[in-house]
Amino acid sequence: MKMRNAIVLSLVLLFAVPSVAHAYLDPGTGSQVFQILIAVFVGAGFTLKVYWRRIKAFFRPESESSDE
Amino acid sequence: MNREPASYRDPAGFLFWRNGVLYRQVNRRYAPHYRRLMDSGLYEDLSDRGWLVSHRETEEPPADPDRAQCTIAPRRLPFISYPYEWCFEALKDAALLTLSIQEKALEYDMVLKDASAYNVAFDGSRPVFIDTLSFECYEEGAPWIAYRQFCEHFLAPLAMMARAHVDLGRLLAANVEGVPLAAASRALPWSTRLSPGMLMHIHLHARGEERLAESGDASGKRMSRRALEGLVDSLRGVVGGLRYQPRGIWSDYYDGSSYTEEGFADKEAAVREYLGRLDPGTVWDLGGNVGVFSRIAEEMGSAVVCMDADPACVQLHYLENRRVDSGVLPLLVDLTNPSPGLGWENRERRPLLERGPADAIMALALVHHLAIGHNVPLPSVAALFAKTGRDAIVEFVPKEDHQVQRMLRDRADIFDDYHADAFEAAFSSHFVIEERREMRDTDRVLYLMRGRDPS
Repeated sequence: MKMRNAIVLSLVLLFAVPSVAHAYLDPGTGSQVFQILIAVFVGAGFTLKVYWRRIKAFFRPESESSDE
Repeated sequence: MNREPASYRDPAGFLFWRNGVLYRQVNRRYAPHYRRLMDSGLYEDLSDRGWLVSHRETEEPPADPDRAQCTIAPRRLPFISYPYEWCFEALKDAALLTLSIQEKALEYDMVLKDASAYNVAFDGSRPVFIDTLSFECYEEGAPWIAYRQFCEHFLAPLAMMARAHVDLGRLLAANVEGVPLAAASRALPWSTRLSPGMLMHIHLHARGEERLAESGDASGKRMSRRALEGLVDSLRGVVGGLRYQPRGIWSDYYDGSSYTEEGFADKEAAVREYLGRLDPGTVWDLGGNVGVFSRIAEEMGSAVVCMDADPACVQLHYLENRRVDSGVLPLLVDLTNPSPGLGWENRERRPLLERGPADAIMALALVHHLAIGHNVPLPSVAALFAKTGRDAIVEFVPKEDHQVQRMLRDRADIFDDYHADAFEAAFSSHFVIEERREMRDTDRVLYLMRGRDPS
């Protein structure tokens, strides 16, 4: 799942964004925009993980449940 | 009053020294964030866990009253070390601590506004977050402002150490703002692109940084809390998956071959006795290997820093200390090239030699490495030792010793001045030799020396 997200994301970045770099710009800008782009993927991944843990916890006997 | 030179970037406040005590002024503009940290229970939660350095609020007058909200006195750590002096596993623990604090902060509606590796210090083998003013109220929808810094200060160097070569951790000394992602992306082996985490947070991040800098606009764009949690969780996954595994284990790493069992016991007893006589508050164990003798000094009540130039040794020492929760701090230090002053005016990160001197140094089975392995003349070795410690416990390994013979096997013996008399003459100009003791079953001699300068 993570792998597929990463591939889709690389395609988005490689083809959709024009290549321009100006070093005088705040170097954090590119990183912040990038973070918002990947937010959808990491957010979805995390949501699935949280639900998966809950499902596992539901089927696990009481005594074995972890403190997570 | 002296303002701490490393503390100038953040308008939230700064560190200053007064009468030998370290204080932190909290500025008025930071007051809402500071109040949230203290009143929400976050401070208590983090300091109870030992994650965040504790502090007390004081009546001490602020250093810059026009801007001041209050003055706090943080608990002092015995020694401040820097990320380029940590072994792989220590840097990884500092990274994971930073992420844990970010996660915990979010539970209290706060975030870390920076993720600098210099915000972490080591108290023995435990990482502690030392920047009390790094917390900011979380604004729903905001991206993590420290994301890039985390990648540059932690993820990129860790990935390079784990996947290219462990010595690349030294890049942190060349780049005090962290390893640039573009450089890391180029230098890392291609196979790292197969790891989704490294592909995203290093390779694509580097590319995105460059390409989106002008065309992109972060203002007004939102990112859900869930996505922020996901980002931190994803960073934890990739950092947690990085490994550097030196060969061997702690217990068999120490080179005991130079001593018989009785000889080693004899050396241990002598070191113990010398330490007892010096009774030092702080000890630097130079060339301390995996810290066998550091541990003795710690047991006897000293605050010990153990320095070695071998990354494998330092890591094995660190892992063992973490296991037994030892207070010894193992650091990666090459005495032929000790950490310099770095950053603004070379004063932000202090040179190793300015962070001393220790009350006592130990240099056991080290002098021949410097004198013969690195061609350092004995008077220069003595001068360096005198700079690092007031008193000294030094082992002299003569030319007849099999370790020295091994070093000389493939090179010309140009070391006419390497003998006990020259050693004593060189050290006598800095120290008073109080005792010399021949070690059983070897030609080695252990010296107890006291500094000549009264202090």
